[in-house]
Amino acid sequence: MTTSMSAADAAALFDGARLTLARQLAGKRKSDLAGMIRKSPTAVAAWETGNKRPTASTVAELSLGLGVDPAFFAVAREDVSRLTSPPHFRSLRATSQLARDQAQAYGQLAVDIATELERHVEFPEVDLPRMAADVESITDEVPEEAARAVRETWGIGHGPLGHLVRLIENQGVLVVFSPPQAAAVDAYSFDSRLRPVVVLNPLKRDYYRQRFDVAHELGHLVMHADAEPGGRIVESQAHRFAGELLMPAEEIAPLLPRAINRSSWASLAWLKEQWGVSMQALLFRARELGVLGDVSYRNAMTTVSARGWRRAEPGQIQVLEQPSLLPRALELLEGEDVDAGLLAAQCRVPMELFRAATSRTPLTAPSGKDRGTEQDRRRVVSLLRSVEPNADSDL
Amino acid sequence: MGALAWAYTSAVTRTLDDYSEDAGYDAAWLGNTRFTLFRDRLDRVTSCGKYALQAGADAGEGIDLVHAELSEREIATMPLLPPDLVRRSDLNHSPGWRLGDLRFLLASSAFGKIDTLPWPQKSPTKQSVAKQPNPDPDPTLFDGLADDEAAGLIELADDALDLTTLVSAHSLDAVSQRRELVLGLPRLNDGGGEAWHWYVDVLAGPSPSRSQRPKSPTPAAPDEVPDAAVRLRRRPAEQPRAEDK
Repeated sequence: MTTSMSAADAAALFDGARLTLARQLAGKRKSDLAGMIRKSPTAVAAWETGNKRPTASTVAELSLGLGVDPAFFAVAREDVSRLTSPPHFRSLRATSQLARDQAQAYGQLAVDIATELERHVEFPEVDLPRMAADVESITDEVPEEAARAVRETWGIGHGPLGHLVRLIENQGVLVVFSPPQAAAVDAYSFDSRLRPVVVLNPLKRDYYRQRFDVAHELGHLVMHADAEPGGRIVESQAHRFAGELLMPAEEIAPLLPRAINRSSWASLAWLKEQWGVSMQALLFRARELGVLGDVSYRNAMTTVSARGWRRAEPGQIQVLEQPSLLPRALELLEGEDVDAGLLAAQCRVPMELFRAATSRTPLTAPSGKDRGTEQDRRRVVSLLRSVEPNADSDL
Repeated sequence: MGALAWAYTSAVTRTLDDYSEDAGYDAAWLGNTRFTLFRDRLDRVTSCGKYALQAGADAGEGIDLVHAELSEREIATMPLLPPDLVRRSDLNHSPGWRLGDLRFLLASSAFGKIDTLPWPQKSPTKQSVAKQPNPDPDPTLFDGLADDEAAGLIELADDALDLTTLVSAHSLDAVSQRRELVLGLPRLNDGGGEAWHWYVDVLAGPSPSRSQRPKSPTPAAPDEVPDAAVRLRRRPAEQPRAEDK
């Protein structure tokens, strides 16, 4: 088979939805793209909706401007990657529309990759309990009930949870890391026709907080298939789900400190390692369950801040939980002499993004320019520029 | 009572929806917003304040303004009261609502402290309300007094309030999102103690129960966890091979 396609062929097979996908991955508005290739935003809109078809030379310009092979624009083989629920982002106020579109587009690519790999390997079947929460009620008890239902359905029983990423992967949930350029977007999740997906933030290098993220996103998948994403109640419910899943009230309440003194920090540190959750999550849980009073909680959080633990808490486990579905599939296929580059080409995913989605660990942005400051990180930058300058990004 | 419960639930829901400690809001903002929205929602449900209707106007007049910014659920559950049933009756600028010969004011409380709400630390208006006599008191030394003598004593103690005035006390724990709402006759509790002659729980609902059963956790599983079950299909579809490249 061939891995490249001429601009003329791509123009003949042009699919407007693929242009939208590429533009979103590049983090560009229609007007940005139009300016880049000196065409009108109306023309870009018409190509994306399918009302007009770009010429071969325009396809070549689009390809060059966005950083994708012309083949990227050809009509998709099947449409399983379409998301069946909008992604759940933590804060719509804090996540711009561009960033959300980009994250959603990356999610679609992850599903495209899984679709391609599942032609050759078998993944665990999806077995996810669903319990719709009332997203207008702050007193709805579904989050806690859903967390207990998950433990029961999956036969987890009591006590601390082990490897959380593996737990949900074994129930058919796809877990991938975001590429490093998209670090401004926190973990998010969505459902697709193929399987539910959790996308982890690549810069959150904290085992304990990452576990809470995974539990939070699992909460969305279990409770919020039809919910409008981003609302405070929706987020609060996912948080409560995560709290109950990781630290069931009945089990954790007797263990939590009722006051904060010197010995309670040692106790919190011990609980942290036992239950695999941060001390701040334990303190919040103690406050939430009424074990710890408001004044004690606030004093404790003041101490946490004063010690610099708000941003970096001490903990024994330094490695993150790692996804395995896509990496394992790739290893199996490579063992069968199947080439990763050709797999990436078959699902028409740029190589760098293919690598980000199939990696066990988050990729790093090596160049100084990409590291940037926190302020820089919040800007939406293209995912289609090379992650590593010399990497083979052509398909 | 239903209107009171609806108003507070709506106010708290919106307050918590907007509240973000990370964005810099604090407890003062939370308390002030809760109070402001509670007053607003009570005005909406009773057609008072800026939601008042002229006498004889249709109850559906300008209903879109009453429903502005409310969720579908809030609109669906909003009790329908005749527009002239309740009137605003503020007391010394403290917002009050009058139903027949009864008025009620609002008072905020720390969560879990409503029973001992310290009236002496509240405004002079609330203190005067808390000085009202209990119309149904326990037996006292004055029980034998003639009615007019007792009335004189009540007059002294009453600070001459024009109406029997109740208080609706409300609290909210922003972290657990638990809240309390009562309506009752306050009792001036100089030196602490019971803050009420009587009250009713407007949000009668079950409180979360917690088992105190002690249990030791088992250690978390080690990080060396095998990969998820991924295996090659027995008859793989066309697999691109390196040599095809």
